[in-house]
Amino acid sequence: MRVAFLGKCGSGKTSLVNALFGLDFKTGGYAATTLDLQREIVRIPGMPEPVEVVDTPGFAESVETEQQYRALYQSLLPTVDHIVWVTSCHPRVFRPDQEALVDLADAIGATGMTVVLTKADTIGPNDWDEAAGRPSPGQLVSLREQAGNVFAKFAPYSTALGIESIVWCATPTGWGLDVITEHIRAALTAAPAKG
Amino acid sequence: MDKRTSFLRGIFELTQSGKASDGLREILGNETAQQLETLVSHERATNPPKVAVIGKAGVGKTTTINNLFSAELKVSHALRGTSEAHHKEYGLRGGGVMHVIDMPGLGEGIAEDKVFEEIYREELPKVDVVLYVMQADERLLGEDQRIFTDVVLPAMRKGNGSGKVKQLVVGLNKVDLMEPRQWNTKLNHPEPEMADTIARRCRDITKRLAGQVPGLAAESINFYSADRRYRLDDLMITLIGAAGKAAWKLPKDTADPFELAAPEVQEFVRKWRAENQGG
Repeated sequence: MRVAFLGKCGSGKTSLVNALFGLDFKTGGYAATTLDLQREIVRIPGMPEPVEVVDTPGFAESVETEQQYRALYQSLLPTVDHIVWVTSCHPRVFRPDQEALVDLADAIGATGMTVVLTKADTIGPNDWDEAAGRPSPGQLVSLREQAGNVFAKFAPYSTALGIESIVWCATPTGWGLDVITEHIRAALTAAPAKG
Repeated sequence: MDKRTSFLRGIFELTQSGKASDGLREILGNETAQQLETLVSHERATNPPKVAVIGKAGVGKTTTINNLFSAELKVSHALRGTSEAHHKEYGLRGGGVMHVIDMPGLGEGIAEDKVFEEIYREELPKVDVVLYVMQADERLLGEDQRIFTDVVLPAMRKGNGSGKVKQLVVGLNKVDLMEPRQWNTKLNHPEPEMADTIARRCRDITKRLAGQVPGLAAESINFYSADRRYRLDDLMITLIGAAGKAAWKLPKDTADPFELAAPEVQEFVRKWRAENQGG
């Protein structure tokens, strides 16, 4: 089975993939980074079969790279069993996500999707609970609010997405990663085989 | 500029030197000279230079405006509260008034942009300066390229009738949040390695936007941090310079350069001034 990670550039895709599966994919700085697909076979606890993880270059980086990246997604997505759509929990810019969802609607088809909000440790009021290694009550409120906001941005362009498919994490601290792994495991287990 | 305005501008520039001011007073008499002075300051406060602050949603446009113009200097509240473009006039330290338009952020969504871009098309041709704010710790330049091509450049061309984009100022906000984060809080200044990161980022942006904004040099990207009030005075000077014909209405001296230093430095400067400059 195969799971693909998609999202705007700088959303923290590659760091998330590395943290989830103990991989060492190259992560970005401020200049263009992941120019091609990065793939690896991994084991997910509770799944009898190995899973192929595919990390993609982030979109909206520049108009010059966009066409090339779109072609990459177009050929990849029909072959995957689940999509993890990654976005940082801060930004208010979702037009690139909407445009990608529109362009890729056919390639995505009925494939299930999990939306991950990264960088939960730095969301307002920015008072991460260091001692407990989890968000403060105020941050949890912000995260739920942002999940609702993201759902409202995505839903008109992605009929398959439910609000329960939006999860969050703070990659460097490890918080929330177990929930994401469980979402992926459940989705892959339930997904019809694509061969 | 009409003849009356250019006369007042001439008087203003002439009387910047104390000698000319005294000479004029002799010719006109005290009372008339006083009247003229009132006219000049009135003109400086009417039809102030207009600056539109634009960019993607979340880059810090409003914070930039709030910290660029101290709140206590605000002379009027929102002039037009119903529109998504918030008009405000600010009195500047050193005299003069600036009309600032806080524009809605672009890129939130396809549906939102339909409405907001219309506001951009309506407002941008009417302003003297466009301040395009970007965010240093974010890389969605594809969206900026689109905004320049589809919205900003056409509206500005319509405004000044030529293809030249001379009244565009590009600001790069949130440089203090770039990684690796090495901010010297005492000096309110990036450490050398972080300064290099910022410079590289400016060059990268210049390269990316070369197709949309020809002639944009890395040096002309005004990098700053509105939150930390880092290099806001530099940005202000650039804005005033860009106001062109209307710039005489604005002060050259915009801000106390020590205002944003560490408290102990401010305290030292305050004492030193009190002792050496008679307050």
